[in-house]
Amino acid sequence: MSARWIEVVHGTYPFDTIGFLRTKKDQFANPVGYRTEEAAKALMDVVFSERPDQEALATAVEEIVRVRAIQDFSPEIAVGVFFALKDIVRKVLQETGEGQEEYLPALLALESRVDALVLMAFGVYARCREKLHQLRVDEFKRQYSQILRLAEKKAEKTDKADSNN
Amino acid sequence: MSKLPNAQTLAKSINYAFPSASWMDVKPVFNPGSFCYPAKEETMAGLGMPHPHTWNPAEEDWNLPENWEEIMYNTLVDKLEKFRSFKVFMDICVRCGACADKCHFFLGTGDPKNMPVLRAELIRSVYRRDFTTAGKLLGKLAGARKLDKNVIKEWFYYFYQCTECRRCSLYCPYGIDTAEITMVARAMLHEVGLGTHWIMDPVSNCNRTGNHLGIQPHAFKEIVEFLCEDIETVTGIKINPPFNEKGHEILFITPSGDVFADPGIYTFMGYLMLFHELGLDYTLSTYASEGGNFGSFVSANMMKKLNAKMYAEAERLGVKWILGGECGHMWRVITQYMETMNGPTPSNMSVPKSPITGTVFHNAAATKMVHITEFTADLIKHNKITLDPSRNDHRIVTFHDSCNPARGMGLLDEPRYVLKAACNNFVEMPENTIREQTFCCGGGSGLNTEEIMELRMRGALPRGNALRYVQERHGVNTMACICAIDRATLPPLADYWAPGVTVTGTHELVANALVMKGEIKRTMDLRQDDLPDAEE
Ligand code: SF4
Ligand code: SF4
Repeated sequence: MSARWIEVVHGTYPFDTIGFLRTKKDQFANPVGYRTEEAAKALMDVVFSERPDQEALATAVEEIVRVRAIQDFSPEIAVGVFFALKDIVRKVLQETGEGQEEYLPALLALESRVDALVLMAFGVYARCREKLHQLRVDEFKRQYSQILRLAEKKAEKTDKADSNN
Repeated sequence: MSKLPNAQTLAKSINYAFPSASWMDVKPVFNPGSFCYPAKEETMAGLGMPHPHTWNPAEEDWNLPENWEEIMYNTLVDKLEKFRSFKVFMDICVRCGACADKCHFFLGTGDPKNMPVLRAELIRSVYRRDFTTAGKLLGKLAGARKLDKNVIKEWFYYFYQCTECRRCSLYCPYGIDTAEITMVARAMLHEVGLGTHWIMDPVSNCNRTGNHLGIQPHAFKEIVEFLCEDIETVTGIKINPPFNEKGHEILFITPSGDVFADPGIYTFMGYLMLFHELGLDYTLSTYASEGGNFGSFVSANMMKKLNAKMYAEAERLGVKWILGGECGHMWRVITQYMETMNGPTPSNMSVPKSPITGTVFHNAAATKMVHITEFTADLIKHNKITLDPSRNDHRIVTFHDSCNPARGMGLLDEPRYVLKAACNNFVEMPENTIREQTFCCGGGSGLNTEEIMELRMRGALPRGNALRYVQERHGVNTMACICAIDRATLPPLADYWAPGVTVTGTHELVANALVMKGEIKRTMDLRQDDLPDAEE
């Protein structure tokens, strides 16, 4: 299941890139591949454990969404990969041929969990985009910090001169 | 409002949306945030650049000159003749792929055309068609294609997604340097009037007033005086640095970003404090008030022109040698091109010798220009300055090797030696992300402009990822560097990828630790933040 989800995420990248994402294992040489695998681990926890580790989940979601938020994806594709989890679970159940009814309550509970997960991802996405704009503003201020300071001093001087007159 | 696709459609769309079209058939999409604003027509005209015109990358028609094909063809012939290395790079790539996954832009964007091998292929495919027999006969089968307007667009898109960092060349068995290919490609685009605002505006300013922002000499001096007031607030010591004075031994040149921008100013204060403590015989210059050289991102001629003013000023002021501040591409220009372009040095200059330790910098015999971390490392080695590293104890410091000093001049150990003397807590980032293998900040070679912040954050991912790792594992809260562009580009990088890490220049940390004669008890650092144990 984990492998299928990773495949979905990799599938959002151009074909010529997928082989690299899949095969290179070093976390510094392949940050996207690594973060995807880490996120997949946390997702399996969501599917299989009674009480998923909230903190680990939040970190994993944050790390992968922070990457996807600035890559060339539409918001739907950036965050939507988490929805794919529902589809994967349903497919796996179909394939194993187990009676759907028996699993229905669990499946419904899982779907709610996935919804919560997507909301979490959406929150991270929105914060990242906002951050991106903040970075531009902050950069501008840093770039001209001393020029602005010079201008302020000049203005102060003129003010003083004006009030003395 | 667009509605979210349901899970099934989505899964389907993601699973099957990307057929393996040949890279030649995939055209770049000019989304905002991924391309630089074009240079203004009047800026280009003022600099005498070819075919100045108004255009917009997001529009279909780029208003190229009518005979653009002829111009490009002739330029390619010219570049092949003039630059032997370029011709060799066009011919010898065996497409082994060793470089493919080494580029930070590939790692951050996942776009295959950001693999260095494909980036070079964008131009090589055109070369192949007209300059190789196989290409002439077999065309596309031999990986050759005709130059059309879409190819020009693709070049603009991808050669401004290369920071000329040279990481890829480190892994290439043939030493193919994609950065040089990028330089040629950008120079070719300039022949049909295509350039970026963020590069051409500073070039034009630097050409007129001596620095990138176009600040006039008196304003430059006034700002330096503010910084001296700040130094006095922190140390109680009043410094009056000399400007444009003849007859000193040394001319000090640093990027103007150190004077105008945060956090570079703290590094600049650091230089002044160090020189004061040493009683160094030096002068600043308002004419050569820019160590950076955005000309190097344009063409060989422009780089030469902007670089020449350093020697001209050294000659006018009659100094023996030049001491250079913490900068990246300035050093690439100096180490790799300065002597060939503008040498030999004026006759008043001699091989740099530290007046404090007597060390002769034979490595700088040709350029007469010494990097400040070499100079300071030598001072520390000879016990000529007193440092109290405990003043930096609240910092856990790592070091970002800037691409140019690291790969372009092999300056790897001096900054580390200086940092370790100035700070007690020093941690390296993972091995495959430092020293020669360092990852770019994502904004080198004139890409440090805010309109492409999104693209920059993609390119910054590998560096940010390594920084995040040492932040989580070792509590790193400070990243030092020796480059003014880094001091501009790393703060947003850290803010996005490893929030909470502060970016500093190396001499900011040196000055915080520097014990000065006659100073008051330091209760704050150069940023005027309280030192942790100051209350006692
Ligand atoms: S020089 Fe740097 S940015 Fe350019 S292709 Fe090579 S690794 Fe990428
Ligand atoms: S490593 Fe060198 S030879 Fe191999 S594909 Fe890259 S540029 Fe070509």
